[in-house]
Amino acid sequence: MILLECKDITKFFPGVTALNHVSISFNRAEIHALVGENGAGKSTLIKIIAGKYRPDTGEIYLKGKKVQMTEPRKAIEQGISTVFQEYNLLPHLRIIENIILGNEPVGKKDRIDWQKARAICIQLMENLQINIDLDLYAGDLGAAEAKMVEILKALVSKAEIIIMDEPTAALPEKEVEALFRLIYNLKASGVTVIYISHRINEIFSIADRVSVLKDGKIVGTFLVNTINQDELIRLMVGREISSTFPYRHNFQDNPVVLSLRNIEDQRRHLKGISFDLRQGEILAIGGMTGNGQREIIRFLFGSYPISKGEVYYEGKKVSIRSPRDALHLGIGFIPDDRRNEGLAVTQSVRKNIALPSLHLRQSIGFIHRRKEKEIVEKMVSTLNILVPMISTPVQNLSGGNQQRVVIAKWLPLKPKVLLFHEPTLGVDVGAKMGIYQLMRQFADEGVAILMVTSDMIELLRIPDRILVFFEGKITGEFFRQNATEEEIMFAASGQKEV
Amino acid sequence: MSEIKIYKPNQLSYFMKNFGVYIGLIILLSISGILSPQSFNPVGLLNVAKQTAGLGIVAIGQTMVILTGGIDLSVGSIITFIHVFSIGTILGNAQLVLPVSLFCLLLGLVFGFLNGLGITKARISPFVMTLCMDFILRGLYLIYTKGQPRGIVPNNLRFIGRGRILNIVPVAFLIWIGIAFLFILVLYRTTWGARLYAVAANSRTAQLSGVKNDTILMSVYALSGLLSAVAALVLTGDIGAVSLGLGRDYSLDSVAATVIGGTSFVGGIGGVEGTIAGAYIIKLLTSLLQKINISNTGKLIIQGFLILFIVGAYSRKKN
Amino acid sequence: MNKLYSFWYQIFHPNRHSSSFIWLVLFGLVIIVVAIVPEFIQISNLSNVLIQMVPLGLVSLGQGLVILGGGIDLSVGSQISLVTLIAANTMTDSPIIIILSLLLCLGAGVGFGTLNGLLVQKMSIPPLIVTLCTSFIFQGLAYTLHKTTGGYIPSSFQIALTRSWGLFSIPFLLFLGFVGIEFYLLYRTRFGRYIYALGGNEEVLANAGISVGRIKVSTYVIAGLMAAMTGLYLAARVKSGGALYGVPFTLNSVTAVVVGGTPLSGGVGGLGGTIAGVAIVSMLNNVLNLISFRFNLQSSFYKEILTGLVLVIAMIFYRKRS
Repeated sequence: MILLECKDITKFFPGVTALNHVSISFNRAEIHALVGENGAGKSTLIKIIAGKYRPDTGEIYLKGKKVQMTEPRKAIEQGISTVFQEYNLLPHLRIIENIILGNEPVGKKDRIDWQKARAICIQLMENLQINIDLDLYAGDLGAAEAKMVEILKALVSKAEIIIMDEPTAALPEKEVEALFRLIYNLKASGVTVIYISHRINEIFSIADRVSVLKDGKIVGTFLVNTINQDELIRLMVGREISSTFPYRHNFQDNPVVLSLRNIEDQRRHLKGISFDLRQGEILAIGGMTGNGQREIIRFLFGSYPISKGEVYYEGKKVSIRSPRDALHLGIGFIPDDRRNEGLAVTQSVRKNIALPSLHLRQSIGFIHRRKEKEIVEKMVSTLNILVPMISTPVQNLSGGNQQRVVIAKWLPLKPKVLLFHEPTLGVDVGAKMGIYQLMRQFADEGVAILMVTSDMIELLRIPDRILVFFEGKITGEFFRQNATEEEIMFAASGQKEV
Repeated sequence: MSEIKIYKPNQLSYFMKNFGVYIGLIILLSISGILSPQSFNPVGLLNVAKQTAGLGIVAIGQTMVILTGGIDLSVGSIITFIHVFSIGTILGNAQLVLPVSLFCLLLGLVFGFLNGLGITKARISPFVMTLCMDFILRGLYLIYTKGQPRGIVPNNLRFIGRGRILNIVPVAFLIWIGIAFLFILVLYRTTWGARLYAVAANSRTAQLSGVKNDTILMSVYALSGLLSAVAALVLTGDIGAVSLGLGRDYSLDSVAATVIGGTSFVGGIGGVEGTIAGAYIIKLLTSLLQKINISNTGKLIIQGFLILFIVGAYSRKKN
Repeated sequence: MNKLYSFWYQIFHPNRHSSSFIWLVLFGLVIIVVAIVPEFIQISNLSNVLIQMVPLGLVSLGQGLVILGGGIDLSVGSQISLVTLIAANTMTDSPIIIILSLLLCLGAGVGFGTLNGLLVQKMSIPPLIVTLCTSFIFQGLAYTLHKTTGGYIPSSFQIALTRSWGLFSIPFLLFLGFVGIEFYLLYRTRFGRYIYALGGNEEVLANAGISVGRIKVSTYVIAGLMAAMTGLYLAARVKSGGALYGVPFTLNSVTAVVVGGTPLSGGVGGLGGTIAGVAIVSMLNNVLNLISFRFNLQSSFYKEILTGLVLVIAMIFYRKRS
């Protein structure tokens, strides 16, 4: 029976139609997955259901009655709760305080009734068959437990619909299973779960139905057992995913540029990492997010300290303790969070691109402005960055173009190694291909490329060699021509040792 | 498809953002001209310019600090400290002026450097660190003078503060404008300046682009201390006698001058060019209010409203 | 979790407000002080210390809530001055007038706080700048109300607010009363939890559907109210009003709160710590007076240095812990 129905929802933002006459319905006690590429509209749809946005056209019906979600509070009152992708707890408060935040049982004079609160929490935990110590501080929890607490938080308001946005994004495989059990129990107790995820295989293990969003429209809603992975991906992406890049062989005899031996860190995110990277090679590090990939790539850029191990650069032992060190060695870094770490969005394209290489175009500290203009314009044309003028503030550019600016920063330094952390995050489908072509072009010119990616499609189409990380160790190494998705997933779940 | 917002530089808004403060300055000058036409001539205007020099010099340092997202509340005490120290050491002896002045500049640099140290190494917030430095220095100069400062200013120092070239242009004004243009040049044409603006716009990105953030921050606070020392010497020359209250208003006034001049705590917006006008506006306001017989009191109130209004307007524009 | 681990966890966990720690420091300081200056422990001096603590204590109760919520109020000092002047300019011997004047002062405090809160919330201006500016405005208003005669505070009012018997006194009991109210507010009601959430992470609070603005403005209103209380008390004690009376309280209240374990970013800390912080700051002032009396120095000079140093040390120390 239908619990929530959205009819003809449209939402405009300046310059883009995020949702285009979307109609979708959710049943009682079902696990309904929402899939689609970045920018397809999943996030917007969810925010409208949760009351954060108002639709420009269309209506929402809950249990048959029309409802107006004017603000998040209304949605919560109607029984719609959201578990966000970002961390949404208060680490300095205890778990019980976090769970009841906003829904505290109160007695006279606004006094919190802790006994009642405790009873409610214990009851909820029983329903879901989990057990967490309510008096721990939320900051002490691991990622999976934190997610569970957030789900409990969503339930306290007597939610009938829980929206989960990428709940497994930061979770190791073992904990994903625990989360799934919890979700099954939710379904058993009558709750509807709207599940957003990029991980197609998860969808197939947990969801009852799946809806595909593409470019703001619903492509279709299917029972999960009537469709297979390839068909689903094709619907999401709209093209054959077997468009591959040809395998590359021109690097195999090249000298080794970077050598890591037995890298370990204090926090035990890295437990003995060793690998080589050759000139002109594209090496990818895959595996579920949170298994040490972020740490290793940041370490190589001087942004994360290690406690043991050595790094050799062109044969010589080096110590990379700051981004400046890495820069001087000829290493460039394109971070995953480009708005906050890769670019100064209020500054112009010119200033952003010129920054890392300022020291190359100065005498006694004074910048050679003409040379700078030349170089920046050269970068803009080489990388096909679409801007009317180089004095345009970077925030006016699209995601794909912004990413090109981040890449352009490093080129004047003639880097020998480029580190990419999620190279096409937040870049739309068309622009992704452009970035991949750039990467292959650099590699053909002799640059060594190390990329960390959580996108399986990317992993299987772009690199020459693939390393799989699991809990800080390398559990799989493949040449792309020999790699299969199953073997990679296997290694990523810790099933195989190299 | 990729959405590119076409950036057409809106001529008016570009002009307003960078030079709006000068419009305000002209308006204020006009008002002051109407209220006291006798002093609205080149000599009178240069007089005001001379009075503004001290604040203007300090505000340059404050501008750079605020650009990086910090604040320097110790400038007032640095000024007073250097003031009493220099007078108390020179004791009227003209030959000591040069060496003592140089030493004072060094002192200013050291005080600023200590601020920078606390902020970068001990990770103390700039507000707290510079406020504490302010307190500590105040205690120190009170102890040094035992509450009763003494000393006289020799003529060569007076020349810096009060002298005029060709009997018209005040030396102090020239020093101020000279330093201001120097820093404008440095901020826009050197690698150090470019890195400062990078840190101001986004410190994390700057760091990940190879900039040594801590070095930039330290240098900015050190320079603020140095400039406060310069201002102290100029003011000492101007005043000619010793006064324990010399630097008192300068901390807040320099912040006001910077903010009114269009420099923002976030985003790397603004610069010394706006602060020149900002300093002028503050001084004009003070003298204007004195003429209408509203003293310190009124100035405080109006200054408060003014900053609120301007910061509010700038943040509204952002949103 | 067995009881012993639980006890340790509660007291020394880095996330927990480290209130117990600062109380230990306070006791340590008291012991050191008594060793150097034995006069400290005399009843006459101790009761003095407790009474001296009251104004700083009152204003710090308010400041503590604002800082806990992630803000700061730099205008409390000028609010205090302004309130002493409002009282001194409106009071007469008539009890009705006294009560009206009292209400006016408290109302003024609420008004000032509302102004601060609304400016921070509606105009999105950082609290540092807002309260810096409103401090100018209030200070300016205070200067206009300032009279060299000091205004008039009826003796009945003064006596009522300053009676003391040995270690106990009306002011101190007043302070304890407010401590009790704030204890209830902060630890027993929803509002208290929301203040912690506000300082911890505003987004989380908003996501839970609570009106962030309402909580924020309320903290500034409470700060204004407490500043008004402090002003009334000060006016009673010195039987006059003055534009500079409140000046030391701004930085001292921030110092007391930070020393007590509430970082400027908020979200952690609490009442116990703030009270200990108030005690430490007051005590240092008192000790300084005693020392300078003994050694014939001018204490006001050193007070400034000391306050500055204490704040820096506190910040370095707490930064290392987190």
